[in-house]
Amino acid sequence: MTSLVFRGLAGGTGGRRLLTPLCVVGVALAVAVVIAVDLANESARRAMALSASAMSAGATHRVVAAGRGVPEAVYTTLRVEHGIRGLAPVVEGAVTLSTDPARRLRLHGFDPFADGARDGALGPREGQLTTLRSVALSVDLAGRLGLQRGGHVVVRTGGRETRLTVAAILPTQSAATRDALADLLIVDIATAQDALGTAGMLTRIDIAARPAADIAALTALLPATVQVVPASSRVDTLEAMTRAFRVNLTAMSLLALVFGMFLVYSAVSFSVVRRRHVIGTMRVLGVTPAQLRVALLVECCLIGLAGTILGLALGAVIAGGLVRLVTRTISDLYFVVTVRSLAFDTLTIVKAVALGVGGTVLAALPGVRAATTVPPTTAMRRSTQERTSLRGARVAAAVGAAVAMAGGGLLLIPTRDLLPGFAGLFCLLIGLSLAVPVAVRAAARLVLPAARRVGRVFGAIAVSGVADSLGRTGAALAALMAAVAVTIAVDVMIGSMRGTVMAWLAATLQADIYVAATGDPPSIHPALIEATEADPEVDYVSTYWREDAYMGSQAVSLVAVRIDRRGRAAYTFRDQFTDALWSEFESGEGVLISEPFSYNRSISSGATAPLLTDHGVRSFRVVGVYYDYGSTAGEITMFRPVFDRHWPGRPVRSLGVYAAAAASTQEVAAAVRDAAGALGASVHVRTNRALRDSAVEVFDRTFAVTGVLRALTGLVAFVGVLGALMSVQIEKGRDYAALRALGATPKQVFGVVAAQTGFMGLVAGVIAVPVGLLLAQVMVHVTNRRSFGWTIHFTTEPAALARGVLIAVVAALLAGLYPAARMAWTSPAAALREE
Amino acid sequence: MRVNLLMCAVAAVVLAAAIALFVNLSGPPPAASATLSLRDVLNADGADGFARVEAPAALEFPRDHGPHPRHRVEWWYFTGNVESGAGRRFGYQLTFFRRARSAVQEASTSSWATNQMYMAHFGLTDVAAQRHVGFEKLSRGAAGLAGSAGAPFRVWVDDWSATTTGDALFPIRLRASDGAVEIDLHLTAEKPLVLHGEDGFSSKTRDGLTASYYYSWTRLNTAGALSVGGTDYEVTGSSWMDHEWSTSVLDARHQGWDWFSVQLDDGSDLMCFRMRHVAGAAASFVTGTYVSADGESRSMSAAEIELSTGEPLSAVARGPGYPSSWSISLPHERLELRLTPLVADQEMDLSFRYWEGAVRARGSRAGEEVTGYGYVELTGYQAATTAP
Repeated sequence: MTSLVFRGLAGGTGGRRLLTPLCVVGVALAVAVVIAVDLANESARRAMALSASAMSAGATHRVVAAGRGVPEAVYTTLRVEHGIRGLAPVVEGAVTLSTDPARRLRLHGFDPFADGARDGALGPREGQLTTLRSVALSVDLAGRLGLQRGGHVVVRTGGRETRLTVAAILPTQSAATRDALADLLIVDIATAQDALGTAGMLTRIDIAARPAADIAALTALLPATVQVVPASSRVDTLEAMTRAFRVNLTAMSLLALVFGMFLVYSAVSFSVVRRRHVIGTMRVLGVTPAQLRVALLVECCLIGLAGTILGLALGAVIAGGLVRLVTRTISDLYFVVTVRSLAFDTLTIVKAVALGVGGTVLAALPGVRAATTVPPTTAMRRSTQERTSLRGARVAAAVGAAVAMAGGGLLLIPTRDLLPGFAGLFCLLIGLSLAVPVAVRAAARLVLPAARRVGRVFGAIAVSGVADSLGRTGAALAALMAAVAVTIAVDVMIGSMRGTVMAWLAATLQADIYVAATGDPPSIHPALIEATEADPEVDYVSTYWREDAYMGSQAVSLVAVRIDRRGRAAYTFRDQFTDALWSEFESGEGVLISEPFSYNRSISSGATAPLLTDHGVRSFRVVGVYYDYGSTAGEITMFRPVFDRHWPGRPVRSLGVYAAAAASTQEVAAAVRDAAGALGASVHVRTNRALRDSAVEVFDRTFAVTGVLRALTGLVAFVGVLGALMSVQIEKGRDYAALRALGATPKQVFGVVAAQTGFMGLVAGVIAVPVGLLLAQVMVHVTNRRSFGWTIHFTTEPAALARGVLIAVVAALLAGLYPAARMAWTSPAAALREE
Repeated sequence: MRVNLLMCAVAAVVLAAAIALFVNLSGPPPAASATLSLRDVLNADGADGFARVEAPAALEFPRDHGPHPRHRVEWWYFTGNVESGAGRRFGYQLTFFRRARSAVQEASTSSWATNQMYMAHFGLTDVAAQRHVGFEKLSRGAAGLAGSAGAPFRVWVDDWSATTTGDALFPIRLRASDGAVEIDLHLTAEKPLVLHGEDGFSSKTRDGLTASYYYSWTRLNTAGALSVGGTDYEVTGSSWMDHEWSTSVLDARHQGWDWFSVQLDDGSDLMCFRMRHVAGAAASFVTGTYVSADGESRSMSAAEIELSTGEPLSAVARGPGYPSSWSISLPHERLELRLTPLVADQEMDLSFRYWEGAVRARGSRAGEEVTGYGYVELTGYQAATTAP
């Protein structure tokens, strides 16, 4: 009996034969996007964790210090005077290859004699690494760099070049080892200090597992400037730093899933509608609703499974490309990381099946329920279907309003958590989408008289057909509107962000020339500052230094600037900022804080910041909060003379040179370069324009991945809309055949179909504009703010909105093209017979 | 001006997108050998650029108590037999080895850069418990982690050290510990310094082409604290210090050496060693120094020393057949001695594998019974089984 049910249901027509693959493709695309983002995120996160702890296996704690690091004497004292075992000193830093400045690698300096580093190819008995400028690297990295044992690689950092000789090539038996070592150049600690210019300093000291009491005792032995932290804190910090970024990507991928489910819902609903005769006949023949339900659900499972398998394969391919974009952004902004293998595991497959099969079944449930619960005779009639759908559309609109309101409520919750933000965003989107069918119906009513006037009977048929077929087109239009709205929202959000950052850059980069020290520590020769100031072509020289300071137990970035009135223009304040405050900044103990700093630590103007100075803890009054998009962690800015009183003896890291009114920027830059050359100082001189361009380049790179995801999401939505609209038009084949039989030319029929789909696309696109703007507001003011702590100034580009509407119309027209052509050119008799 | 962060961000470059998929250039590296071959470390191969020990030189103190970085190898050796107030007997060994990886040290800004490597061995023999333990430390002779100095004298690896506590060389304080095993001993000289061989030029072959500079303090009054097996002991006794440096102490035909130091109850001391030749006992090279009770020392040629070994030791389970006893006869001194280990298994199974243990000396001088304690070192017994 069951097999008969299956066989009965399996019989279909040409249109349906096309729909099943489309349905599978839709599921596959949705699964692929979600899995790809998940894989890329997870791989990047894992690589980051592995890489961060690659050379510290077994370390439970580490000794760290703010600023330039841990003085190496601390390590010697611990070992020699206190006899502490299980310590491993580390000197680490980022380098680039001289042959390929775009490739960033981590130079990891360790002591082969230290405890825990004693065995294997890098142990002291092998000894090769202690020869200066020897390097060990994984076989994988060696392959990528084309290196063999005895070969050479030149690394560069801060303008310093070091030629390293490959002393050992390390095998990588597991994918984990391969990832952990993917970007590591392993050298002796002396080589690392030489290459990084950090003589006398350690990045950290790893401490092997030991009882808590020992850690406490060890802490007591340390000077106040260094501290012991759990080893996991480094990975935790990295994860926290990149979390917002990864959550944003995941949210985008879930959007793709929502579209995928829309697609499945509409396709299954259609396939049920399409077979109402078969279903009704079977019910009459005695097949129970339960049997039918099982049969239909099994069919959905198979579609879901096929889609999932295809989606997994496709996802892996997309992830390969995506992970590069993700790690590039992470490397640009946070931490040098390379992913060599995707974290493809059972969990990924379970997730994919849950999403693909589960999502398909879930999306199909309403349709299946409707088809199997109504009496057989009703099932065989279309009008009921239409009426049910009409009522359904109203119910959907009501539910949508409720969901949207719930979303609004979620967004209003005063929290910094990203999840309610994204949940609210999704609710808003879904809620508003659910209202689309009703809106389209209303629009059709509104346009009908005009359509009749312009297109006569065919115009009337086209427009009234929209309202009549809403039961089947509703979901597709909702999906189309949502997709276009998201496209508009992301466009507007990125545009606003870019505009804000550009405006900020223009305001911030006040000087004509920027001179950055390239050494490590980066410090500008005092004579160069004097020489530059003495240049008659130069008006003023501002100075900059960044100190890693402590506020309470938290590490904070403290910026010391020397600026004059012109330099003040670089700061745009959140609140009113008066000359009195400037004088408090310059002569008192006032400090400025950046907006993300204020946001992250919930402190504002008037608060005090207790900072650990060289003379102990001193409190500074926050006099202003300025906009800053250079970091997400934020910073404190202090006037240089004030800073010098509390942190004496610090150098200058970079200069801003203000050229005299009549001077040529290029000539001044050349003069600075010459002066630096004469002093043998290693500096990087750039004009305002060059610096701004490169900053914009980094910004664009950061958002490349968002653009790709938006495109992928759009693709899923497009396939969904295509399938749904196509099915509707195929379904209406009989109506069009009747039109033909009544004397309409193929061209006229084609025109009706095109007008109808175009109209639907236009309505969806127009509705998408306000919805997209609303979503963009939420992204700018809620999700992005919670992610980065930045205030983005909302700007709307009319082109982005027009593009959205155009996409909607074109997508709908394209979807209508195939059925329109099919209907127009098939013989009416054949089409009527098919029904 | 917050441009610097931007500069940093700008400096952050794009990771190369093009990635070679699969590379397999080399197989797994050879497994690190468990022990080093003595010959690889101590022979003359690759000794270009190092100072050589080719002739007697005027040793100068306190300068020569310190390191000789232009020579490839050097060691400061402390061994001793001590006992607690209750008569519990212990033997100890604390040795600091220096080895230069190259003749020339390249310039560097880093205080970690060095061609000088240090290794320390610490052994303790608990005779009553018939137990011996050995520990090792390795470090670079840089960044204050390990090193040596002549005046004031100090040689150390991490917290293991031999350090002058006064103005002169002695007293020297020895400190070493590993877990619950610890020594903290103070040494003072009872006899003057002894230069071995020809004014400290100590030949290892008949032709004198392989040699070291070598001197000893043969009798050091020892007092201090010692912990083992969870118990602390106040101990007193007698120690021996060697300081030796060279660039090559083994030639291609040497397997290793047997070294003996004996402190007799009548106040006399004896050092002798045998460089074992691959061709057998007959081709081996024997030499030594005799120190009388009043501190007079005299080098002895091979003809003056008769050395024979007993059955191979069975107590070292994985042992390569160390002899179980030795007979030393000095006809010139009318001295006959038989040395037996206080604990059979006193092998130091560390980066180098050798036997270094406290021994009891019994015998006669001119028919009168004479006893004493000493230390014996046996190297190169497992050379054939050691991976290169």
